[in-house]
Amino acid sequence: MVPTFRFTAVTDRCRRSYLICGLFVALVNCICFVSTSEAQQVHYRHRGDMPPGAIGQWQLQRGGPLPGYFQPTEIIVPTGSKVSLVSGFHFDEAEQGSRCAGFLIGKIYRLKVTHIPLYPGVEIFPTIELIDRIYPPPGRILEFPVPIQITANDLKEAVRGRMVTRVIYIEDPGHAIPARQQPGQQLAFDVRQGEDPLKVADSLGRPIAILRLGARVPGPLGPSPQFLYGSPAWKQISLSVNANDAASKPDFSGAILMAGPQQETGVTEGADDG
Amino acid sequence: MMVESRLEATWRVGVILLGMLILCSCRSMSPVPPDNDGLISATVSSDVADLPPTAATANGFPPQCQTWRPPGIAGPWPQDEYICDGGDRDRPVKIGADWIVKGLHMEDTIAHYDTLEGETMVASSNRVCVYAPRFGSVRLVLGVDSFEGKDSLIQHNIPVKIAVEEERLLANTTLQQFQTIRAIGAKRPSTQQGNSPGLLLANEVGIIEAEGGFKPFENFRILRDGQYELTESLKLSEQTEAATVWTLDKGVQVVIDGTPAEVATGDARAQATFSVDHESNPGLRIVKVASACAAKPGEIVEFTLRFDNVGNEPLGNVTIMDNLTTRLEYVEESQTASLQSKFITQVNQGDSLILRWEVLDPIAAGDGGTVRFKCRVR
Repeated sequence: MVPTFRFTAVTDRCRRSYLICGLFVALVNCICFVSTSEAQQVHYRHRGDMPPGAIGQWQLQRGGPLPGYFQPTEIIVPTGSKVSLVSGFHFDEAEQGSRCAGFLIGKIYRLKVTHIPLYPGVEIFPTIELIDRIYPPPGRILEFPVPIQITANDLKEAVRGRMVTRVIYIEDPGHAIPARQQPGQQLAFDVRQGEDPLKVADSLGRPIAILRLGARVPGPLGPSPQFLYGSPAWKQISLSVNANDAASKPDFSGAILMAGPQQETGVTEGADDG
Repeated sequence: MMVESRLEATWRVGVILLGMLILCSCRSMSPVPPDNDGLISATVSSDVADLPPTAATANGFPPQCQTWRPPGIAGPWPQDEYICDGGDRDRPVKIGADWIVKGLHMEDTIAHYDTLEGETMVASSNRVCVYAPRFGSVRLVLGVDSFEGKDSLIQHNIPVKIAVEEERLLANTTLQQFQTIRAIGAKRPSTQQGNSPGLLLANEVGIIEAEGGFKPFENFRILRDGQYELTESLKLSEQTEAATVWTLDKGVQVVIDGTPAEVATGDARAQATFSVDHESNPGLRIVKVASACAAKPGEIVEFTLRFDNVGNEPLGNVTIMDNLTTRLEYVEESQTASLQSKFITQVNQGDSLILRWEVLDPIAAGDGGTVRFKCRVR
């Protein structure tokens, strides 16, 4: 009788333990589910007004195929305007119209936009920060650059002394807007003051890049390294290579020329005085 | 006591081990079951530019449509860069009374048909994905500098205001006017005119002026006559890129007359044929291909649907339906059908169209047809 009683007591304890164990398993599953959800590409802890480079650097810490990848990017400016990129702590020769380059994720790239319509002589110095990349079919990477469009209105606001933050995102096809996109046009939304453009972009798709422009200009002695964010390396995409060439040539490494500082990439071709 | 303490100790150890096992399994848990793409994953470096062409072809797929993706993630990846169409997602399509179609979701491409026994059956196509990312932007404009400007202007105007007040105080010397008038009236004019009134009037005129201002994107035998050639499998897979990413539990599962069908030819391809040993063996195969595996917004992509009666009896009332995704816009009057059919369109919930072909005549066993249409990528 006594052993039976003891065994019964142990069984009751075991039942209680089973219950505790079940609750424990449920709790662990919940934690795992939450952690798996948070591992998605959503910027829970970021804001669009964070300092330039902060979000990109955080993204790099997530690992994956981001570090060291030069994401082809197309900078589109209004007709007549010219764009310069920083090469070796100096702005290179300005090119008219859109310009393509490969940018590293997590770095800040300073641009110079001149010949702004209606504002002759005015120079605007926007920055571009890539916080993610895209994955086109190999050999067709150059056909699908990330388009960063600087509109005439953006430049006008910057000339007036206002700060413009534009978050470029890839639209979620599951929640796509049923609108036809014309060539050269980009779906664009304005958010009100107090709203976070990064969070709005997160809700619409996957943020890829952040464009910032305002009235900040270099000092009287020219652009300082701080102003140029250390002049990070970038790749110049040769204009002679078109989409068909790239498609027939999966290995496109020869189509991209280095134009950044030597210490960043270890490639000297096209490097300036770094 | 010994038995109790042993059981208790064993139980504690068991709970701890179970907890560790659960935690370890959570750590290694992948969001999507791994597929058979380990070769590519193992050979691809962090930079897509470094993708060796041999690695891409080693898997049997052409490099044109092959994209890098992390190990354990099924394609297409990432999904937000692809427009997909075809298959039967989520809840399977069912045909109700009077051929009412239920469960036709966006992107679904199916065909339903009637058998000789009076049953209405559904067949779905493979899924075709086209790389077509669309970008948008969200803008915030902050007028920070204008606020600073207002603050500084107010500070500069403070002394101006003070000066005005001082002048108004001086203007209060109009009391002196009264005094002067009184003086004129009370005392003798002759003596007052000579001494002070002229000077006081000159001061008053000078006082009354001071103001401040303020400012701020077909040539296969299976598509031609429904005959599948093994030599075409490579090129066909190029056009049906999505089929490459199927795993058996995610591919088309076919049940005929309640009997799970077995794969007759192919299992991880778009043109897999299913069959069961049955006297009455109806079956319709539908294959979908796209003209491009990548397209930019505004480009035209042509889709081809090949359907074949792979059963042993004629099929009637064959209806093919394609519920286009939001970003695919049907190009008006671009559809063609090899068999005489009635074409109907209907707007769907994604502000695109449901395309419907109703084949007028029954399709004999071994026969088939083709439907083609064009879409503009939005």
